Amino acid sequence: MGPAEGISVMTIACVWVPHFALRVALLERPELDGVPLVLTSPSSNRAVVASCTPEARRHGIVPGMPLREVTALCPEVVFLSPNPARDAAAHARIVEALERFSPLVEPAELGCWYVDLRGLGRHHSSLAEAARRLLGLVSPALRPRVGIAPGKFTAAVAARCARPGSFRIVAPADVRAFLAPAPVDWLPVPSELIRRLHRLGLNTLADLAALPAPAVAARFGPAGQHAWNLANGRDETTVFPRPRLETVQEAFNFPAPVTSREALLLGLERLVRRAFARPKLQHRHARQARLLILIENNRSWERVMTFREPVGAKRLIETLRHRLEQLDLPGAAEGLTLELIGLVSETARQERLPGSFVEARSRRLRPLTEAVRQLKQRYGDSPIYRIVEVEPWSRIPERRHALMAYDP
Amino acid sequence: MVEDSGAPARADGVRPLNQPRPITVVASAGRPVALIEGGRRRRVATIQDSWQIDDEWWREPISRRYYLLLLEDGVVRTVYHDLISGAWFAQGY
Repeated sequence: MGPAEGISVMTIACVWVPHFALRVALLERPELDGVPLVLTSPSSNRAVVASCTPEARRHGIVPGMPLREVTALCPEVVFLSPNPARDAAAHARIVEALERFSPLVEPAELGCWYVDLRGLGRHHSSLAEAARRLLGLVSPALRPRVGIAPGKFTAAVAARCARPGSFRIVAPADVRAFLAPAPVDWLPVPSELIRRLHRLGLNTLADLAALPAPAVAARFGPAGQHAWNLANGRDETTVFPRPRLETVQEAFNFPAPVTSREALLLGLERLVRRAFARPKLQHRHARQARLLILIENNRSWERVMTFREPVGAKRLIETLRHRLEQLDLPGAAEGLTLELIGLVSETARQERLPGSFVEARSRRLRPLTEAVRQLKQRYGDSPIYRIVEVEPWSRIPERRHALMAYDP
Repeated sequence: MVEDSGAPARADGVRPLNQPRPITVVASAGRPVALIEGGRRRRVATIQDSWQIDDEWWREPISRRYYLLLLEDGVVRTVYHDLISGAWFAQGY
């Protein structure tokens, strides 16, 4: 296969960093590389293992295990605290680096990115070169792997099969044979379905792919049908790039770590005023805020808040005061970062002339419209649908109507 | 129904409605005699109606035999037998 031809046919690359949070922590403490490491779960009543390195797994440590048992199994284990802010920042930096390679980059779960390679044939002499360049965009200390294949699922399986710091390319003709020995546990389907597949002795993708499609659909429903399609290399899902949102970000470091809520709120107030003084926020309000508190000993706390109505500086300060009333940080705060997302004009809520039919209808729909805007801000897409006629005359019932996202 | 907002439709914003749902049917001589749902078996009291649709022979052919069933507990259900794959589905008609 020629190089340019390869990139036009094989479309998707998966860049994968297993145990991402642990690998990011190792960037700051490289001397721990090779030591059994355990990432503890975020602050909760029950301290358990959130993730662990292969070195820790060799001692029988698994995610979900209580920390008391971990020390009994392996006394030399090193515990690392979660730092979601640091992980999210590292994840975002990799997204930005990959976006310089291809305009279509989908950040999936932490440590996994999909890159659409279609149309990039002229930039790279071969798929192997494209894979090497992708690997070069991620720090080698993170031990990234790259898989390239015609579909997202196959690319993800290829990345899992690649050695750390290397890549695996699967040609379209080889997809089914390549997927066959992979365990069903790698399918992106609910864990309950995976358990049911194992109970029936279906342990590999080949076991599942060999079954007749109608039988799988009848037994396991739409999720089973999806799993069967993936096991057979049928994967039509495309790469969804992240939405480009207009945001304003302000950061602030306390001169000395603070423990009182009042000091924290004062710092926050200063941050909000600074953000709203920026020209980008003149006469504009924000629908969502992401607040990040850096806590001593390399920890962090993060919260995304979606507001019922777009808020200005004064309202935002009041809301933050109210929402942070019960805040109980696990340590002294060293810094704050505030990101305002979903910027809209402060006159976005236009009033209509009173008394008219249009005004009455508009008033009736306003709560629904506002609720949909809030949900859209929170989830990315409107989760409210309306019924539309597609082929009302059709003899096939599912062709007659469809649900269309209600997006005012 | 909610009024049209006038916003342009996006392909990923459209979802199918009234999709066929796989169902386990006990059949005798090709006709349903009982439905099994959630581990519960319900006998078919009568077949109130039956009709066949054959369509879309020019792309992926569709051939279904629909049955309007009255179950022993008084519930009315519509199911169809996919004559191409052999599977049974429940679907409102």
